[in-house]
Amino acid sequence: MMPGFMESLPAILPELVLALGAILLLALGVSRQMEARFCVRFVLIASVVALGAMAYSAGPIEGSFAGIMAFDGLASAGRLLVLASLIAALLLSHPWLESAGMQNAEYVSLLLLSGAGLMGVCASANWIALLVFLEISSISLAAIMGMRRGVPASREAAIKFFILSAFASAFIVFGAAVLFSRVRGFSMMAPEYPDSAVVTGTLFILAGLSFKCSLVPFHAWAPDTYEGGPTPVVAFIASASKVAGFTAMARFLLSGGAGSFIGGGAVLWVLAAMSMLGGTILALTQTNLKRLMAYSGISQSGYLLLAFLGAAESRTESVVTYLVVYTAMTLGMLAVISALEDEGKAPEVSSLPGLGARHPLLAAALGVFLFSLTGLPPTAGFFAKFQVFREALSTGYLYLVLVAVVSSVISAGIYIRLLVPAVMEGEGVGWREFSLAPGVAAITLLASIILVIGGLFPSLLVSLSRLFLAQ
Amino acid sequence: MSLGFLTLIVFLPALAAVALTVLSGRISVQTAKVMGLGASLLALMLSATLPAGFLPGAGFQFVEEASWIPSLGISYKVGLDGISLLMVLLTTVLVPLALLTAWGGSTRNERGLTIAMLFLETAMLGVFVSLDLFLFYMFWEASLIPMFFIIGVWGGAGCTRAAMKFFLFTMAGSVLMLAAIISLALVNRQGTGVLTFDYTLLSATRGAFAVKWLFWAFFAAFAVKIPVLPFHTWLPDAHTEAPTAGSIILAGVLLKLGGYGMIRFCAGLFPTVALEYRLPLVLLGIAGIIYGAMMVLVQKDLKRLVAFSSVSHMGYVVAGLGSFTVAGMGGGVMQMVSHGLATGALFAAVGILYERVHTRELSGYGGISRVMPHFSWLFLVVVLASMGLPGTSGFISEFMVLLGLWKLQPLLAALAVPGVVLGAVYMLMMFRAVMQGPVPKGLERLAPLEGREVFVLAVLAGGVIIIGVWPGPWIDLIQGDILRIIGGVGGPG
Repeated sequence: MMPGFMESLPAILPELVLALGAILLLALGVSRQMEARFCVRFVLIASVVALGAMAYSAGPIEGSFAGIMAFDGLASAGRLLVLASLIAALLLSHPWLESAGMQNAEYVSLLLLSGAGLMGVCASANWIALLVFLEISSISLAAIMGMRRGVPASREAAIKFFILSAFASAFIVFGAAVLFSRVRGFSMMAPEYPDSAVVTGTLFILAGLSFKCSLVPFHAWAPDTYEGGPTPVVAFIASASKVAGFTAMARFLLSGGAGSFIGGGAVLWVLAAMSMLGGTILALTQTNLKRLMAYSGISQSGYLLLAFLGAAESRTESVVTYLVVYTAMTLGMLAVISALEDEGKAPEVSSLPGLGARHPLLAAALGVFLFSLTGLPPTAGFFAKFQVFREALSTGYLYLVLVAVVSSVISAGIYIRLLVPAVMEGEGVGWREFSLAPGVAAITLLASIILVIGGLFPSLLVSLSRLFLAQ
Repeated sequence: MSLGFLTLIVFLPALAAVALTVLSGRISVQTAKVMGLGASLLALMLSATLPAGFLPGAGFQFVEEASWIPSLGISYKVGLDGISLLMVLLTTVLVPLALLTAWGGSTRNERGLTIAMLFLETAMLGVFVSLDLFLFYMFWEASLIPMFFIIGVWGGAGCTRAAMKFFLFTMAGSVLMLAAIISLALVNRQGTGVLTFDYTLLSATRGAFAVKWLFWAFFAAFAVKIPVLPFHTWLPDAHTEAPTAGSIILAGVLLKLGGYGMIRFCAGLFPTVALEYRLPLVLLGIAGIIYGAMMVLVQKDLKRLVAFSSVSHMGYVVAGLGSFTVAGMGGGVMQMVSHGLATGALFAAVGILYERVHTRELSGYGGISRVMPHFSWLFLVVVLASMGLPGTSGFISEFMVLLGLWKLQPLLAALAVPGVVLGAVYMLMMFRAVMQGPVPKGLERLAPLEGREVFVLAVLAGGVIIIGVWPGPWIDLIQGDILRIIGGVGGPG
């Protein structure tokens, strides 16, 4: 029997905690200017409470909210990663808020709201629910992006992000409507139905989700948004937003429903190949570290798509493994970048020389992240790549894997180009002395530990993914 | 069986490196160096006991296995056959010697170099003992990272460029191998129903999955590492720019990873393909021999000269292994050992010269035999060993390779022979340029050899001579394993 509304409520407690926290903070912020430290602490507590709520409400609840939400293993994995990214983004925000002179309460409450939205996206099983949660997050994120009113790049980032998010939603709405005309429902797992309208709808929805996952050719917003946005928010978008996008995509394509015919189809092949090659080739000439991370993220999305093409019994597991590793690498990299940032000016490759001499531990962590992005053992990035290669090869996508091989080799050149100045060169003209903020230290330490332990004992990553999916 | 002796040998250096990293603030550089050297010597002593319990020709021994990623059929599995045993010994001998060459105090951040060398030792040993393809790939790729830093941080003027080139070339080869490893396991699963990366299981069903592109994908990774013409261009830069200790390990062991991979995986897993393509492989090897030797003749930089001689010498390895004959493959393996010792010694000698003269330009040298007479004798032994004079290990290995080529096709042996002559020519030319003739200004007084420098050269030269006059036991060690690799496929003797 389906649980009623009240019985379903505990499952969505984490999102509720975040949303209520955001509203409370906003209300407090109306009357007086809040101190950055207070805001960050308040929100951190809210996130930890939400984490506790997730643990409390763990376990499958069949057909909650009349089936428009699915609190299954895939959802738990995605929501937990979103929450982890949120906490990381908040930790990174603290020093940044103190220097940037922004409206603290508004900033952090919007970040909380977008976290709630993205967590909701991970658990949505219905196009309408998905769209509502997606909009909650997109609108909040676009608002934060544009908060630094004096900075033109910030406005550019906000506008690009907002318009392309709106595009994405429009694509999904249209696709869902077309699907509805055939399957008479908004379920993301609607039964397969070989019909040209279903194909059209599925393709439109796939395009909409591809915006979120920054897959080529739907990636154009990413570089400008990454470059102009506040680094903590970029860290959040790069990790959480993509996790949510891929979780939704996995639910749609891998659950045996209407989208399944795409899983294993030429469309994913083309998207993956274009993203891998496009991302790495465009990253080659970048000198701005945040822009470079945008392109690197695009190619990482391409690798992740390989897992979607794998064998039905294991591909979801590989997707989750890759997302865990991807989140750790991305948050770690952006934490390093935020440490290098000079009063909101996005750091360039030229600000790297000297890092090894001045902050050897941070440089070591950077090394771990870069080797992991390259996919070199003994880091978890290698195992993640191994898994997606295995998935695609197990269903015979040899040529696509060869594309991935070529892209990996090119990307090695990109990452090594950052590591060489950071470790092997003394302070250059771009060097700016900084003291390591505790938030940055915590994130880089934790991320590198996860990546090294996960790389040495990959069965831990496998078990973790299974633990989630067994729910 | 669970974990034990072999695992201890492999991970001992890495444990020491971790300890040194953790203790870095608390102990002096001198203590760190002593600890590092001590760890590598301990690894040497432990590995020196291996031959005592080893039965030549009896397949993989000292096998240890532990569950690692059971869901994917991946386990931590290590073991030794004769070929791996030789390579392990070569590694454990060369690493402490390389550390000794960096002892002089002219190296900056000696602590870091020691740590990098120890991590590298674990990775290299791991490659030689892995009996699981996933584990092998982990060690294989992991060996890239410390070497990349050794070249880039402690190298010469153009070292960052050389480090990047080294990294990208080897990376390009090995990612393709990763795809091949996974495909091989998947093809095997189709045939047997079991997903496994276990080398012994995969090689037991070999021939059943003789997929040609897999062979070539493996070969690509090894060809870059050995290096085979035309993938050799990273080598001169890397060897030239690396610090002496790095050059010794690079030439002595890292190139051998490629040769080892070729015999273990290309020949061991795809014997039918290896047999089918032995002519092109041999020709590639011969091209390396001749091209490398001709390039040596025109070099003006001492380290570059030795680097190109490596290309030539490793050509024998490719030709020998590619010939798929017992003599040729045995010669290839012996050549790896011989080249490791002799070229290691050459780089050590060049390092000794460089520390005193501070130039690598050949024209900056001359008449050193009058300034450093004792050194010139040791140098002569090393040069003669590199030439492959009878009584040195190089003679044994080159002879065996040529024998193998002759059995395959006498014409091939004839093609390779000029390499031997050229080898003598360039080595003697180098000796003359450095040791004889007038002494340039400023070189009239050079610091005499230190005890550790004599020790390094003496050990390496001694090894070359011991194998040269008493090759039997070494060849017996590998003969059975080579027969097993060739066996069943039916190459000529």
